[in-house]
Order: sequence, then structure tokens, then C-alpha cells
Amino acid sequence: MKRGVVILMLAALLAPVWTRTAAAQGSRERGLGPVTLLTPRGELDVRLIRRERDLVWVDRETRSGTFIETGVPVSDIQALRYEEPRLFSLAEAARTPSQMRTVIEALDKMIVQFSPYLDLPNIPSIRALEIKASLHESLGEWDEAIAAYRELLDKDYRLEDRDTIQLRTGLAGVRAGRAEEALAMLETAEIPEDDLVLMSDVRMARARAHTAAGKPVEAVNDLMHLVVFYPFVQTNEARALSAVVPNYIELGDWSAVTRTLEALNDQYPDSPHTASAEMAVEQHRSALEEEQARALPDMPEE
Amino acid sequence: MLLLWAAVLGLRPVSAQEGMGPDEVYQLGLTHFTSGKFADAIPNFEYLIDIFGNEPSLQDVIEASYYGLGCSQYNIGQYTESIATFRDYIKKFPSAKLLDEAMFRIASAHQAVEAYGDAVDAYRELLEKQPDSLFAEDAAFQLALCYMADENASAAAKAFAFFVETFPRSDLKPQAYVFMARSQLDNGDYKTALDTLVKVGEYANRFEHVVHANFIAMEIGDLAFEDTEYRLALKAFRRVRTMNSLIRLQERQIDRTEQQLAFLSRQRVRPSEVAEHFRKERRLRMSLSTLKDALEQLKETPDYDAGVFHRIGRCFYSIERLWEARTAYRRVIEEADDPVLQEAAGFDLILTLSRLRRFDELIAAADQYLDRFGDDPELIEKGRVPAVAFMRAESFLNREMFEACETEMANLMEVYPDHPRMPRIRFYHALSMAMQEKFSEAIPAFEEWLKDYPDHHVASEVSYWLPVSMFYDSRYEQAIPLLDAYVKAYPMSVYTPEAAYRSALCKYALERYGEAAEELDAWLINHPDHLFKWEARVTLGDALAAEGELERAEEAYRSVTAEAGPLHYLAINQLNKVYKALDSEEAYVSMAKVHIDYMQANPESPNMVESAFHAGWALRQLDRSDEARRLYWQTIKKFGDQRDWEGFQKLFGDLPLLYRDEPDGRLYADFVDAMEEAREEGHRVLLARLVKAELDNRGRDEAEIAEEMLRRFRIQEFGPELLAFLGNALVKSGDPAQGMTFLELLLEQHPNSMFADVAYARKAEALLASGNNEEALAYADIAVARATGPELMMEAVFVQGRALQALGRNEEALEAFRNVLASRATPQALKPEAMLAAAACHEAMDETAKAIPYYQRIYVMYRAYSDAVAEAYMRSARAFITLRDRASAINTYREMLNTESLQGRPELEAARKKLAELES
Repeated sequence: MKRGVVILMLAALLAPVWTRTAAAQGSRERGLGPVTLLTPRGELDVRLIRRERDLVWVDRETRSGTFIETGVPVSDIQALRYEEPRLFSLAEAARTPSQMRTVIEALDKMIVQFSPYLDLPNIPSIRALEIKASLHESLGEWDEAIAAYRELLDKDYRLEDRDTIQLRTGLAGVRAGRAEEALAMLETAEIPEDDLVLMSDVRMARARAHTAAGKPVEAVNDLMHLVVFYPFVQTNEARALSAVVPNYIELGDWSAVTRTLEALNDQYPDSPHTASAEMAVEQHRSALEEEQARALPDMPEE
Repeated sequence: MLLLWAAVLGLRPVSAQEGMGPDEVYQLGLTHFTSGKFADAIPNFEYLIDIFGNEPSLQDVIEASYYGLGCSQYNIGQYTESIATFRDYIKKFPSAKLLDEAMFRIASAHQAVEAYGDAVDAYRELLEKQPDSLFAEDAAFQLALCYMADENASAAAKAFAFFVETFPRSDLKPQAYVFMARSQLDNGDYKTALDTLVKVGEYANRFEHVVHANFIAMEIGDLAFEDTEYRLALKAFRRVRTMNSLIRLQERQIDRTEQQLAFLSRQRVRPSEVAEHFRKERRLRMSLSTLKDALEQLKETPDYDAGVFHRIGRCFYSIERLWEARTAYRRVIEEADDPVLQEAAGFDLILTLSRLRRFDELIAAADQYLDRFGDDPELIEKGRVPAVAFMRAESFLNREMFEACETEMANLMEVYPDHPRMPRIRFYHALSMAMQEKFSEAIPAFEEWLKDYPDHHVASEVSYWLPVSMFYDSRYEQAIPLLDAYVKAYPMSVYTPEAAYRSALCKYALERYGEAAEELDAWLINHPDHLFKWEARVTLGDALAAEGELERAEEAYRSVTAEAGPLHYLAINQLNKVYKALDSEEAYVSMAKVHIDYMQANPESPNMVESAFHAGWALRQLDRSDEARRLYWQTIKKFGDQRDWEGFQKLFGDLPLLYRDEPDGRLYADFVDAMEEAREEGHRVLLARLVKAELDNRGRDEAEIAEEMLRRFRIQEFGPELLAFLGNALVKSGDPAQGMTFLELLLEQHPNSMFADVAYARKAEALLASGNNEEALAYADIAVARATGPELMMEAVFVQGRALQALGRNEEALEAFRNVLASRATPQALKPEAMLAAAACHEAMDETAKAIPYYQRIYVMYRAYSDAVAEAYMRSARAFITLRDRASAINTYREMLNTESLQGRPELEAARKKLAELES
């Protein structure tokens, strides 16, 4: 999409995201929607009007084209479907910081609009918050990204995949340098072994947080999982071997440092990860050489 | 398909009858054929060929009949007949449209009857004569497969190589790579096979042989591992995908292939696409069958993933990447169902952890292993269980948990008397005892070891630890020859310098100072950079000083530089003795200078205060009291507010001596100035110290000073020495609760303070009084170890004795009481207490006769302590009764009743009654 077109469309988004006219019951559209609710009575195409405790008031369109206001108990709403708002696809197309900020502003409005319904399944503000968080990530605004994820986790949203949100919060936490907080997120969520890319990123981030928190063994555990079982996913082997070196130094395992450098130089001689590992060792070079010289042969077996 | 062929010929199917015309017969054959009744179709085509084979006008029908016949025979498995039919077809119609298919079917039929040589020839013929045929690609592929089936791996590998080169865009390329790898592997070239397999990786997600590729990779890995080509093996094993990932992939692929087949069978095919259609269908069916077989094979392979991870772990272990190995083995243990694999991974993990020196983790892993497999007779027989038990026990030694190590090693000796590592077990057993300072047990254990294993390679270590244990057990005479022999026997051992050093120390301890000095001097020349070099220099100085060689001693001490850390200050302190012994102006100048230099170089050191004292003392000897006064006051004012620092009381104690020549009141005036200054600057800790010192100077008693200090200062304004003083004073003045508050604070905030001994001693007393004997003993032990004064030490030893007595450890208690009684430093009041306690210990051990002399000593030597005297008489008389010595008992009571100092005591009434009983 051309840049100019994106801007034009984004400007339009600053208006309310979903139609919200305040007409009384009749032929005019009002409220948020349309959305489809799956209830024990079947599927209902409706617009969301207002919330009263455990009841959601909706406008149902009749065959004659008029709308009838009716109440649906929240406990009856098994699923909610909606046509993806244009805002979401525009978010994907946003490239420049100003485009991203415009989208974030529009997403915020949408989130506020849907705030009375946040405990409905698959409410659009869930996706809106996810997109908002990822836009902040793209802007390097880690604290804001964390805040968006935390909103999902801390409020009453019915999340289908809470673990993934939690992991993403943890990943942003590591980038924000909030190691302890990140660890709390990353250590209590289940890591998806099916999504190899996410799993790898989470383990890398968790290892970084462990390293920063002075827990080298825990960091080694995460990194070795990638080296041993998923070496060829992304650049796992090179990046994990590189990241493990400071932990071995912390543990004083110079033999492991030596072997790791050998492996990196042997398999990834031109990788920046190898250069980074060499650099990490550089200031400990004399200690490393001393240890290597001191290493005694194993005692013979009886 | 034949329906299509019929369409080509413009014919339509009808029913067959005897005596029908050729067209009708052909139609009948075709009808059977298209409905899949190949056996029924055959007679019709045969009839046409037999009867009308040479009829020129029917050659189109005859050509189609040959084709139909050959295909029908092929389809019902009459491969030999099919081959003959197609051969006749080719001979009769050398320009037939379906000539290449016929050639392909001939080859394929040979292949079906496992006549691989003929099949190869036939495929070759097709490739040579019809290189552009639609069937050429399949022919080349099948040709290679025939070589494989014929177990001609070398030819097969070449044929697959030819295939991928000739048909680089073929869908069969990944399969060809897999089979090529298989052939190369069968041909013994697993390195090339692995390279080939790596090429498969590009297609890993979209072909049906991924499972086979995995199995081949595993096989390559195993072969490479056996050949100790660990890196290559690792490369192979890491190509292997996990079971879940493979099953997911395989199921997806089966689904896709079935959909393609269904689509193909529904498709209407134009005549020009018939051959391609046949070829595609054939390929898809082959793929589907391969996929399903592989999936079955995969699902039936037990512990597939765990098996791969174990192999990966072994490779990493073999190339010394131990953290990787640990990770792999841990996962095997988590995932494997097979107990054999579980056991192997558990054992390998323990080996890895041992090499990683992760002993806590090893102990946990070994516990898990032994829990599960510890009773398995086969694993015990194979030595695996004993090996794990040994590594576990050894971990306690490496963790310096010597008590546990001793127990574990003793257990190993009992459970596995034939353990292959018995020499090491016994060595560790003795060593762990030595490390607990149980030298009387360790020394005979080392000696027995050397007797039993004189030629064992650990003998050098045992030969070292034996005399070292003797050294620490003060058996210097015994240690010296052994240490010297060790130095001679093992000149290159890492322990040799230490052995030589300890030999010299033994001589020093035996007061053979000349020898010690000589050896230490030589030792320092031979080992100038040894870890013990600073300690050796101090000891050399001590030895020389003891020999009266004070200048050389000074030189030795002065060679200890700041680099020596705490030993530097120790050397400086030793220098004090030398300078005091030299007792010359020059010596005192040097002494003052050494300390002033130290103060200047170490302004942050708490030793500063002590150094100031020594410098001041030296200056006083030089009649430079004014300089000493200045130095003291500077030190006090500058550092006296440092709450943690100690040693000020020495300066305060020495100050009055520096004012001897000054007018009266000058010292007080200086104190007042200093206190004013401290008050103004808010230096409350310093102020408290000054006030206490000033009160001391005024000769106030302990209770008064304590009261004044508590009135004027808050608890957090007291340094360690004041906390100790106030705590002690309060305990003694009958307020143990408040006293303990101060002492607890001292221990909490200044655990390393030289005044902590008071806190430990008083705490031990308090615990003893509350009946908490174990804890009382522990605190008394610490107090004894840290006591800086002999009197306090004896008080603590007394508490030790009482605690031991209360715990029923009478013999040890007796030893403590004897020490208390033997020491001149013991407070007088404690001695009758110690005698009563010692006597009670004897009585508790049924040694009543030995108790009596203690009682007698009390009423003979400690008459002033009437409580103790009264108790001693009563107990002594009871002891005589126990010994059935009625006369002595009567005498004892009589003597008690006549003792003047006991008159009026309540015990006398009891004594009178007892006496009356005895006399009646």
C-alpha cells in the first residue's frame, strides 16, 4: 500500500472506529458492531448497545430491516465473531512511526469503546491490545508494550491463549531491561513447543533475563535446550552458544568456554555471534589461559 | 485408462459372443478391461491376435489388442506373460505410439518378479532408445532402485547420482537423495551418505521419505559413533527430527497425497495425457504406500525421541561439551519409557555431572538412579550401581561435606566389599576423617591403606595426607620422617613444596628453631612464588627471633609486603616483639616508623588504631610523649566515630601514661575538648567512647559506668566494645535479659568483633540456664575458640563442661572440668563449682571413689565458698555410704557439723538426721 493512501486511511480512523449513533430502536444502526454471537439459541447477528451487569443489550436486525433491542446474558455468549476491522489491516501496513502512532491512537479508542464488554469471548479489543503492544514493540517502546500486554492479563479479558500473552510480556520485559519482572512472566507460562520460533525467542529472552539476574545455571539450561534440541531453528545454535559464554565465565567453567568458542569458530566462523562470544571472553583471556594451563589430566581409574 | 484408448480408436464397448466379428470381440475385451476385469479381457485380446494378427486391415485393432493384453497381464500379475506380449508388440509395431510405455512395463514387470538384472537391462534400453520419453525419468529412478534391491549399493549410488543430475527438477529428487544416501551408507561410505542426507534437508517438509531419512541419519550416527567420529555422528543425529514433528508431518503428507489421488481418479484425461496420468498415479500410490509404512514403522519404534537424545548426549559427552550432554540426558530421563534407556541416561548423566563438578545435582541424580535401579542384581553385578554409589559418595568429599562423606564411604566399604574402587573409597574415608580433624582415626586408616596398597597410584596422595594429619595432630616427631620421605619419593608432586614446608613447621613446633629457619630459608629460595610464601616468611622470622637472630628476623618480617594481605599486619606485629627485644633507640624509631608507614599506606584499615597504639608506645619509649599524645588524639578523633572499628580502648588505656609529665587536669581538659568537638560534630559513637574512657579514668566501677552510659546514649551509638561491656555488666548485675539484648546485637552487627567472645560465652551460660544444652555447648565451643582472654576462655570451658554433663557426655565433661581446674586463669569462684561438677561426673560413671577427693579438696581448700563446702560435705558423705564406708560417712557428717563457717545453714539439720541414722 502506498504511503499516502495509508495516511489518508489512518486519518479517517481517528473518527469512531465502529458506528455508534445514538438512535432509539428503529431502522437506524447504532451501538458497536455488527458482531455475531454464538448462544445456545443459535447465532445472532447483532450490534452491542450497552452493558448492564451480567446482561448485554444488543440490537438484533429483523427480516424487515428494523432493529429490536434485546438482552443477552453474558453466560449465554459462547463465542463472538466479527469481521476484521479495517484498522487491523492498516496496523499491519503502518511502517513509519507516525503511522504507527496514529493507529495506536485509533486502537485506544476502540479499546475504550469495547471496555464494557471486555469479558466477552474474542472481543475485538483483545486483538486491538495485541496489535497495540506489537506496534509499541516496533517503536522500541517496551514499557508501553508491556503496559498493553498487562492490560490484557490484568483485566477480565477472556483470553484463549493467556500463556502466549504472558510470554510476549516477558519478552518485552527483557528488552526493557526489567529482568526480574520478565522472569516472573517467562517462568510461569507454558512455553509452546509447537511454535518453534516463539519457543526459541522465549528461551533466549529468559536466558538473558537469568543472566542479568545472576542465575547462570538457569540461563545455561534455557540456552542448551536450544543448542541441543533446536539448533537449526532460526540461528539458535550460534546465538545460544554465544549467549552461554558469559554464563560459563560466571560459573568459572573455562573448559566449557573453550569448547564453546571452538564450536562457534568451527561451525559459524563468520557469524557475528562468534565475534560477540570472542569479545565476551576477551577481558577474561588471561584467566582462561591460566585455567587451561592449570588443567590437570584426569586421575587414572582403578 | 483403456476407455481413453478406445476413444482414440473410435470404438465403443458391446457384449461378447461366439462367432463374433473382430470389432465386436475387441469391444468385448475393451469392456472387460475398462471395468477392471482384466482376466476376462485377456481371451478376447488373445483371440484377436491369434486369429487376425496378420490381417492388414485390422492392424490398428491388433496393435491396441497387444497393448491391452500386455497391460491386462501386467495388472493381474502375469508378469512373464506380460513381458512376452510387450516384446511381441514392440517387434511387430516398432513405431507404436506407446512403445516407451511398453518398454517401461517390461522393465517394471521384470522388477516385479525380482529379476533385477533383466529389469536394469530393460530400463537401460528405454533410457538409451527413448531418452526423451515421458517414462525416462521414472525409468532412471527405478533403475537405481533395482540396483538397490539387487544389493548392488555402489551401482545404486551411481544410478541415483545420475538421476538427480539428469532430472534436476524431478519431484523424485528428494527421494533419490534419500535412496542415494542409503546406498552410499550400504556401500560403507557414511560420510558421503551424510553429505547427501544434508541435501535432503532442503525438501524436509514436503516429501514422503523424511522418516527414512531420519532412520538413515540415525544409522549413520551410530556407525560414526562406533568409529569415534563423534562430531560426524552428532551432525547425523542432529538431522533427526523428533517423533511428534515427524508424525505431524507424515500425517499431513498422507492426507495431502490421498487428496491428490482422489482428485486424479476423478479427472477426465485427454488422450495426449494418458501416459503422464499413468505415471503420476503410479508415483502417488507408491508415495502413499511409503508414507503409511513409514508412519507405522515410526509409531512402532519405542522411545524414538529418547533414543535420539541419548545418542546426541553421548556425542556431546565424547567431544567434551558436557553442558550439552547434561541437557540431552536429562531430557531422556524425562521422556524415556524403556527402563534400559532410562538407566543408561541416568548413569551417563551422573558421569557428566561428575565431570562438570556439579555435585549437588549429582547427588540428586544419583539418589534418583539408586532409588530406581539400586537393587537390580544385574546392574550391581555389572558394577553400574556401585559406580553410581561411589560417585555420589565422592560428591560429598568434593562438596567438603566431610562428615557425610565419611558415612557414605563407610557404607560403601560395608555394602560393596569388592568394589573396584576400594582403594579410593578407603582413601576418601580416611581423608574425610582427617578433614574433620578426627586425626586419631584418620592416621591409622592412612597407615593401613599404605600397608594394603603400597603400589597403588593413589599411594602418593596417602603418603602425603598421613604426615599432614600427624602434623595437625601435633605428632611432629612422627610426621617429620614421613614428610621428608615424601619430598624425596615424589619430587614432582604438586604436594611436594607443601610437604617440605610442613616438615620445617614441625621442626619449628618442636622448638628446633635453627633447623626450621634453615629449611624455611631454603624453601623460600626454591619456592619463591608458592601460596605459602608469606606465611613462611613470618614463620622464618619467628624461628630466627627464637634463635636470637633478631636482625635476620627483622629482615624476614620486613620482607612481608602489603601484597600478603592479613599476613602483612601479622608480620608488623611480630616486628614489635623484635624491636622490644632489641630495646634500643634505633629499634623504637624503626617500630614507630613501621606503624606510621602502615597507617599512611592503609588509612582505611581498622588495624590503624592498633598501629597507632604501637607507634605511640614506641614514641613513649623514646620520651617523645607529646608526639605519641598527638598521634593518639588524632587517631581517636579521626576514626573514633567508626562504629565497627576496635582497639580504641588500648589508646584510652595508654593515654594517662602519656600525661604523666603534664600538669594535673590536662588530660581531663583534653577529654573535655574532644567530647565537646564530638558533640558539635554529631559524632555520637566517638562521644560514647570518650565518655566511657573518661569515666574509667575517674575510677568509677563497672555498674556505675554502665548506668551512666545507658542514661546518656542510645544502643545504636555503642561500638562493639561498649556493647560487650554493657551486656556483660548487665548480666552480672542481675539483668540478664537486657544484657543479652546488647550481646545479641553485638553478634548480629559485629559477628567478627574481638569482643564477640563475651557475647558467645554469656549466651552459652544463658542457654545452659534455660536447659538448652546442645545450643549452649555450640555457643560455648565458639566462645572457647574465639576467646581473647584466658579468664573468659575458662568461663566458657566451664560452660562446655556443664553442657556436656547435662547431655550425659560425662567423660568429655570431666576433661573440660579438669582444664578449668588446671588453669591459673580460671576465676577462683569457678573452681569449687568445677570440682563439684567433676565429682558428679565420676559418680555418674559409677566411679564414686574418684569423686570423693574432689569433695575433700573443696572443704579443705575453698572454705570461703560455704555453699560449695556444704554441698561437698553432703555429697561426700553420701558417696561413702554408697561405698558402704559407714565410718567415713559418720566422720564426714561430724566434721561438717563442727565446721564453723557452716553454722546456721539449713543443710546441717539434714546432716544431723543422717548422722543419727548412721550411728543408730
